[in-house]
Amino acid sequence: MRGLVFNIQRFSLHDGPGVRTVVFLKGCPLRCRWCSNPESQVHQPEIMYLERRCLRCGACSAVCSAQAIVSAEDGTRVINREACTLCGRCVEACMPEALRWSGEEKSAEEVAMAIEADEVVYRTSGGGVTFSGGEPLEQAEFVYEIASICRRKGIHTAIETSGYAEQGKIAALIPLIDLWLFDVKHPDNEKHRYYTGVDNEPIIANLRYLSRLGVPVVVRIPFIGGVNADQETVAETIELLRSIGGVREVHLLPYHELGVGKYGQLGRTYRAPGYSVTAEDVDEALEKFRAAGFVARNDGIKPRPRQAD
Amino acid sequence: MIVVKADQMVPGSYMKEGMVAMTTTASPRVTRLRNLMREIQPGVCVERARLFTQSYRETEAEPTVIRKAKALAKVLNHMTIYITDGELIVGNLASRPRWAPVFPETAAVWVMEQLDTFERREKYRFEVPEEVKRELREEILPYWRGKTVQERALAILPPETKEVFQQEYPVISPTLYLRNSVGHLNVDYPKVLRVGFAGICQEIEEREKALDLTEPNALAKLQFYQAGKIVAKAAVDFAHRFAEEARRQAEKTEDHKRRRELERIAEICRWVPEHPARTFHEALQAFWFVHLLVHIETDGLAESPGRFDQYMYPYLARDLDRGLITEEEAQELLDCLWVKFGELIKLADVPPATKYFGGVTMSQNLILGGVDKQGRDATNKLSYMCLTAEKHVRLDQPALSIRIHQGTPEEFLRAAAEVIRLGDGKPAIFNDEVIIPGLLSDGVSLEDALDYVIIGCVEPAPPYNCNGWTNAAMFNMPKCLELALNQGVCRLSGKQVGPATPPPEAMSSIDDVIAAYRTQIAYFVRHMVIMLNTWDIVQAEVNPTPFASIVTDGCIENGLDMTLGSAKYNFTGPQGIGLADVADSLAAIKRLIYEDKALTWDRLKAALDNNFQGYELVRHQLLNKAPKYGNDDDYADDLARLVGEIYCQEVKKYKNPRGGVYRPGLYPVASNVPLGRVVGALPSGRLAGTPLADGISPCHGSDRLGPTAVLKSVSKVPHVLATNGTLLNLKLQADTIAGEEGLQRLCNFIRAFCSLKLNHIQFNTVSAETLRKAQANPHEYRNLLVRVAGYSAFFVEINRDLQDDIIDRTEHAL
Ligand code: SF4
Ligand code: SF4
Repeated sequence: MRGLVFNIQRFSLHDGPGVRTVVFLKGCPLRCRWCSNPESQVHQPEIMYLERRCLRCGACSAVCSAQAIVSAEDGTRVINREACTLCGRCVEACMPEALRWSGEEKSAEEVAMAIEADEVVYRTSGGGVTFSGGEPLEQAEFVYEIASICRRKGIHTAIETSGYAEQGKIAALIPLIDLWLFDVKHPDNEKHRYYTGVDNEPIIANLRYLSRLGVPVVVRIPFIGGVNADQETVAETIELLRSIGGVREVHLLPYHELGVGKYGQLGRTYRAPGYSVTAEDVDEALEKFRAAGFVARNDGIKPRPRQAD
Repeated sequence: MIVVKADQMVPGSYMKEGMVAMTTTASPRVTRLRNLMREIQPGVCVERARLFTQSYRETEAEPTVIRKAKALAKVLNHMTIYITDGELIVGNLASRPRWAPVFPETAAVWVMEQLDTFERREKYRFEVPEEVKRELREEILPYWRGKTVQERALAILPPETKEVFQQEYPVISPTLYLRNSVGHLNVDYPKVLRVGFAGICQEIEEREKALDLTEPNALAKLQFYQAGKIVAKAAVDFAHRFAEEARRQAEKTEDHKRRRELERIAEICRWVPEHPARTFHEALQAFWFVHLLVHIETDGLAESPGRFDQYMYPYLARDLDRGLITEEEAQELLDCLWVKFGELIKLADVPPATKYFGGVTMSQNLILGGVDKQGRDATNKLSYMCLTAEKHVRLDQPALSIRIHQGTPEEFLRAAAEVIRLGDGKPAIFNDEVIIPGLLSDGVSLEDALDYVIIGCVEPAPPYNCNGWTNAAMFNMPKCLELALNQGVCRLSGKQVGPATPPPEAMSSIDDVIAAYRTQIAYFVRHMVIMLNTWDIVQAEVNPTPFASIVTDGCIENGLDMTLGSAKYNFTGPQGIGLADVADSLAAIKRLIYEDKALTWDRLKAALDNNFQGYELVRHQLLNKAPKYGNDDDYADDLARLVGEIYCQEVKKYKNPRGGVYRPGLYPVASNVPLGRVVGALPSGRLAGTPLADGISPCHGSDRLGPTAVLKSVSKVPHVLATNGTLLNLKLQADTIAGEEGLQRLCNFIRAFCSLKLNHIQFNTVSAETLRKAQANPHEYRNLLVRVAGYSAFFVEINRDLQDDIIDRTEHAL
């Protein structure tokens, strides 16, 4: 079986225990306003354009039979995404890698082989693989296949999920996933819908389901100024997690504006800058969680694929 | 977090700037002695040169080995000695701390040339008093005209080889052992501790008595034995001079405590190194005298203490058992010795014309841990105390190393990781599981292989018994590729310098390219061997080393100086540099010209001829559209393995005049920068004159998948063949390894390195300065990973404010 992968990142230190390889799967049902991985949202491959690397040589336009990539006045390129057939010829023709694929079809075996490459490092560090995205559960069957191979090879598996998925998909993966890193973005349904585009009810139901079965879960909160970092929301979140029971560990992922530049590369606009939080906010919240009996820690920001440049 | 990139090797003979305050407490005495070392501006001391030359003038009719012994004895008997206030371990190299003696027998030519530039250098600067200059120039150095190793060796170098030697853009850099003594020894310190020089003299006398003087070799042996006795006695007399000096100071001092210390020192120097050491303090002092004398005898570098924790431990254990010493006292003694390592310094040969200079280092390699002769872990209390001494003293010397294997205790690894975290690039880590089989393949016995030491930077050797010539030459592999792609014509000079291999257009496959490359390698390795064997013969003729010989296993038994091949093991180790540059170049040719046919030879040649000017797109194509070594991709990594094999197998064909074999290494000692100056543009996309890849690390900027992929790629290089050593430099951002979690991470990483069967690894932390450079030249640093609030990002990709923030944080980390 094949899936849409947009990055496989080795030597990742903060997406589960030990040294890990993170498999980023493309496609996400949420549209979080602060998303720093815009290229992870869409369910198909896209072409990214990095103006900084462009030599304005015109090779891309010359090979594009759809005439979808044209020169702006200053020689930089503009992609007409409607006209583009995603044939990839421009990417091949672009020597300085100003054009790149975001998202590639790969087989489960291929991905498993890439994961296995660091097997020695997992063994010495207690690491393994983490499936991330996008939303990995959007490609649950693909994850299932890769995770089955990992199980056979004795590689620890974790999944980093928004929790927004049919319960059946989660049920199927439970035996194969050793650790669930489960996002809780906002305790209030309305606000959740406003910021992410979807309801939080199915997410909370899924979290309840996992905890009831005693599956190891770490709740991760992308900690965002003006969204969920205020005292009140923190208190509500604590209340919610208490009511669910079974969750012992909470990680805060303080927000930094890192991915903003990428919106431009994909021909999209970034909707709402200004979500960064202060160190004091984070410390205060951590205290609250700890006071409420949770193991709480600051875990940096959400995983985001590195791009060599 | 991490980058696996490629600055210079850190250990240099000079202490680094900006060392932070000590984190654990040294005694006030140690702190004071240590700080003294940091304050002194190095200078040139003329005494050794003066005394040595006087003796040579007096002994012209005598055999060389005896002249050498008498000259050393004269130096030891008459040079200035001192005991610095507070010192517990005594013995000095020159008339002042961190002053360098002159060794005219090897260095007269270049000292004369550089006499006026020593004090004008930016780095490796030495003060030279006017009267010292005058005496050297007018009285001492002229005597040596025509007598040095350099002049005599070059006079007999065969003409074709001489041409290769004199090339403007050379493939081979072989001058270290032409212009200096060889050094690079780990002498038999434990033997001196066990039997003393009295015991060694007795052994020599017994051998001498047993000689049948009618045997053809017996008279040469007799000379060597006489020389041996002269230097052994001189060593003892030298110690007695310190006993007297201590006594003298004791009488003068008002300070009661110091008086008792000085009296103790006097007793100790009266007893060792003449007799077997009885206590830890005596063992340390005897060790230091032996170490010091090896340094006074020749200007060789990288005289390595080796497995100090193994041969010293019994003395410590006995004293602790009997309650003769407390752990604290023992630690202070050890710390005092650590300071002495930092006191030694030698003149560096930096020809004024060279614009870029690789660097010199004293490289007194002291190695801890590893397996014992039964293959069990040998870590002991002293191993830990040595790590503590390093924390307390933090000078550039000794070059501290550890040996690891599956059974290395976690506690020891953690203790070592804590020292690594200090960011000084120490200790370097060596892998028993690769090095031991490698040594076996060089014909070293199992017992000696298990007990191996590291010489200099990274060169494994059997202990106490090896004259290994481990840093014999640097061999420029990318230059050979340049010639292979240009019919043997140097792209920079336009001259025919290598064999005329076919023009690239006539090569129908990558195999033809590799064949041409092999031809160039074979040609230059052959000439390198002729050069080094010439130096070897001349070193034996004019520069015997009787002191090092009587403390090297095999020499007394064979009755010859070690320069004649009498040590138990004899190697010559030249290093291949630029493995990654050749591998990436071959990968680009194979993929783009022969497989994808996306590039023609005509176009590639034009691009290389023009150093990519006007061919930017070709350069980008080479950089981006072909596989690169360092990304755990077998396509390029297999070529890297092949490049390593070609060089190693070629070198291994040869033997040296001492009856030993050639042992290839793949490491650079910071020469990747100057060696890069002589290489034109390469199909890897590298520009003419820019640095080559460092050791077996990937090319600058071509490793895109992080350090684990680098480890995997590097593990495919033939470490077991490169028995003279390989080098891998990893950079860590300080805060990645901060805290308990960071410490554990570092240990885990080292365990992975061990399992992957790499020879050597060392870590550097990324400095704020590097980050600032990265801000200014983002392209060069495109793979610099940094930690951003708990996760890693490429530094050049994050916005300016955050960059500044990280710089700020890095400056304050640890
Ligand atoms: S091919 Fe690449 S470098 Fe050339 S104009 Fe297109 S995007 Fe720019
Ligand atoms: S992917 Fe194909 S259609 Fe789209 S811009 Fe590139 S060349 Fe044109």
